[in-house]
Amino acid sequence: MTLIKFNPFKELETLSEKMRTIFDDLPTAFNWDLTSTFYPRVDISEDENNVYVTAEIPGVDKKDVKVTLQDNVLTIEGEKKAELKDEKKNYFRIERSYGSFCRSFALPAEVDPDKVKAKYENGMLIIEAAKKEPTPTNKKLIEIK
Amino acid sequence: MMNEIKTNHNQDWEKLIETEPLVKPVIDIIENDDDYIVKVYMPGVSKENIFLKLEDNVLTIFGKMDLNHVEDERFLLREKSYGHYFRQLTLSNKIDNSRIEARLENGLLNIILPKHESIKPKVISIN
Repeated sequence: MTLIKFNPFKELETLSEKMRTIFDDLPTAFNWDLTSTFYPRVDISEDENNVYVTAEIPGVDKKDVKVTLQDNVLTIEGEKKAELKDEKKNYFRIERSYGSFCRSFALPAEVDPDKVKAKYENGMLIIEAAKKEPTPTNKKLIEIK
Repeated sequence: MMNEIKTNHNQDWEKLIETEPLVKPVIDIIENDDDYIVKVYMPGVSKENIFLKLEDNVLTIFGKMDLNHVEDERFLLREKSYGHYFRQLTLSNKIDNSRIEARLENGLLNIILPKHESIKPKVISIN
């Protein structure tokens, strides 16, 4: 008979190990989307003359994306089609969600609706909007007395 | 055993894995009768910047992003993670390594991993 050292925390250790693997396996998407709907990630940045909006919408066709600007609010909407329903496929693992999406943003500066450019390449929507009046950088040198 | 799906003489991307920030792309894995399909979501990467390597049944997926412009931008909202896409998958022996195909569409990389003939479902007719 072999003797096994009694370790009351062994169970707990394996549990915490399991928890760790679960969290390690989670997709990067975990921290921004817990719902089942598709929610594109967006970056907004600006420089003196333009406002830039980029959105990640991989797997969506260009014709399924709509960009509108109203009252200086930019709206990106579209649909990510779940192609699988009719095809009899077995999913092993799904980390992505499907469905329609819509996100709106109040732009940080007044933009000229006629000077908004949008392009879509490799699943990335890139919008460049020219500001009506260039905003000077707010950097101000403060004198040290 | 080394089977490079896309031969790229420039092996610099393997060095980037050690030095630059990485992002784990999300994937879907689907099985049908003939193959397994791995869908890798890599928005913002062009075909030329995707590298796939199969070595000892480990499929390495790498997407090189342009990270240079990020430093000098003034962000108002920043939700995206910045880094090159990197993920490794261990393939089972059921896959016929010689017939793996990949194609990129709208930032979505579809990798088709065909099953070996021997494991495909077969209908046996009775004579």
